[in-house]
Amino acid sequence: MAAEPPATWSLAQRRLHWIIAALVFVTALLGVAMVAVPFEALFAKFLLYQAHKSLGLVVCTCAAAQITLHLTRGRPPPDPSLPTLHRSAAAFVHGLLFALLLLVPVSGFLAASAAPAAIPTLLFGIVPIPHPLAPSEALYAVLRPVHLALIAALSVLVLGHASAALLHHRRGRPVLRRMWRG
Amino acid sequence: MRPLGIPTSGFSSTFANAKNHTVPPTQPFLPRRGLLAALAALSLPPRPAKPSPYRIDERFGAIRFSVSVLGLFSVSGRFLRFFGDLTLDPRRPEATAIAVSVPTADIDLPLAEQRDLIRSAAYFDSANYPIARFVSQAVSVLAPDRFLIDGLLTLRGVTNPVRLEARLTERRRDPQRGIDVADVLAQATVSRSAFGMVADRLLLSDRVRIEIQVRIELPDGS
Ligand code: HEM
Ligand code: HEM
Repeated sequence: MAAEPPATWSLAQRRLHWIIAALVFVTALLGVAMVAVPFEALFAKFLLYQAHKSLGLVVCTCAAAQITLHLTRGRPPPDPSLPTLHRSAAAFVHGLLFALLLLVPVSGFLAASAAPAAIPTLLFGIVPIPHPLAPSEALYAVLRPVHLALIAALSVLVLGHASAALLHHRRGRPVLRRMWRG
Repeated sequence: MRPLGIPTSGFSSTFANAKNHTVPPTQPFLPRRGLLAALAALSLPPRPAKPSPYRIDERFGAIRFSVSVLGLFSVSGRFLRFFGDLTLDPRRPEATAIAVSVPTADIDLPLAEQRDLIRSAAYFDSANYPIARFVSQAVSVLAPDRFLIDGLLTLRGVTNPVRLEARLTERRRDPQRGIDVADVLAQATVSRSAFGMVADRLLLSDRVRIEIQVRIELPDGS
């Protein structure tokens, strides 16, 4: 941890935040689409699953990078105009968001490993990522709902998080601005 | 999932031997197999002195198939049922003859959606062609334990020649039943487009690998 907390977010931190936000959004859309596409469109379904799994794993990597960056570079102190309650709420939600950014992909990866279909995970369609679990109907019946429950939690928190950011912005606080422009 | 209440993992063989059989007819498989096996045994033809066709079905082995997905990995399934006649005299392998029928709707694949898909018109079209059939025409012996079986495969109403490469594993004693057994392992690669099965060619290979495993009971002293 840096001795002096930085005055604002670095470019890398800002980029990572928005890249993660965009990737989570696209990954969730792909997840819904891949499940909805019928089996008759087998090739499209296959590609959607692989794209979902690939982008999900990228989210996990980006979140790990973001956490590392925060630990090494440090992060700016909360905006002084924020009420104390908001600060602790924000700190709490941000912590949960980071946890979910790791847990959602990990649970998805474990679910994909245990899935009875036994389809390998190919990063961007080429690099095989070894599955840590063997296909198992029973395990999948647990892991898939876990993945979905964590996604539900992530969705609720992201909605609250984004609403809070917009609300503060409309009240003239520089919270969104400093995440956007530094 | 399995239409018959018969375990398919352990091979039960009520397969009668061709010649010189010394095994009493009602013997050891009975306690393990129970009533179904007893009925199956009763339905076997009487054992004559020379090679004759033996009924084979899923209790004697398995028929699997696999396709390659983008050349990266493969997906395989299994036919849950098959039935046919096999004439096999280990002393005269070239006289081997086999005719097998496979119900195309009874398929084991991991997902229900996969099973539905493979039964659909784009694949086996089980509604219109419920049975696939292979009938051997000629057998050539490469080695005492290796032979080629040329025959005709009819699938989706289309008939094409198919060559099976068969291998006979070493005979070994089945201590439970007190008889000698061996496995016939046969494999073939067929082009599914030759049978008009052209769906998902971008994803699934045209070549389909077929693997057949059948356990047979050997005559004494052969
Ligand atoms: C930020 C990351 C992720 C998000 C937001 C996400 C989101 C989703 C969503 C929205 C669904 C669809 C649920 C449905 O409609 O039934 C889903 C399903 C699934 N995801 Fe993820 N996912 C992520 C990461 C991953 C990863 C990394 C993997 C695997 C490597 C994965 C594997 C799966 C599997 C196996 C399913 C179940 C599909 C099925 O029901 O057939 N996910 N995910
Ligand atoms: C999947 C979507 C999102 C995730 C996972 C996410 C996650 C996070 C996390 C973990 C932080 C904590 C700061 C850190 O330590 O990096 C943060 C900060 C922030 N996020 Fe998000 N975010 C998402 C979407 C959004 C959206 C849509 C907005 C705006 C509408 C937004 C606005 C902000 C702002 C303004 C901050 C800075 C707070 C501060 O400076 O104290 N985020 N975000």
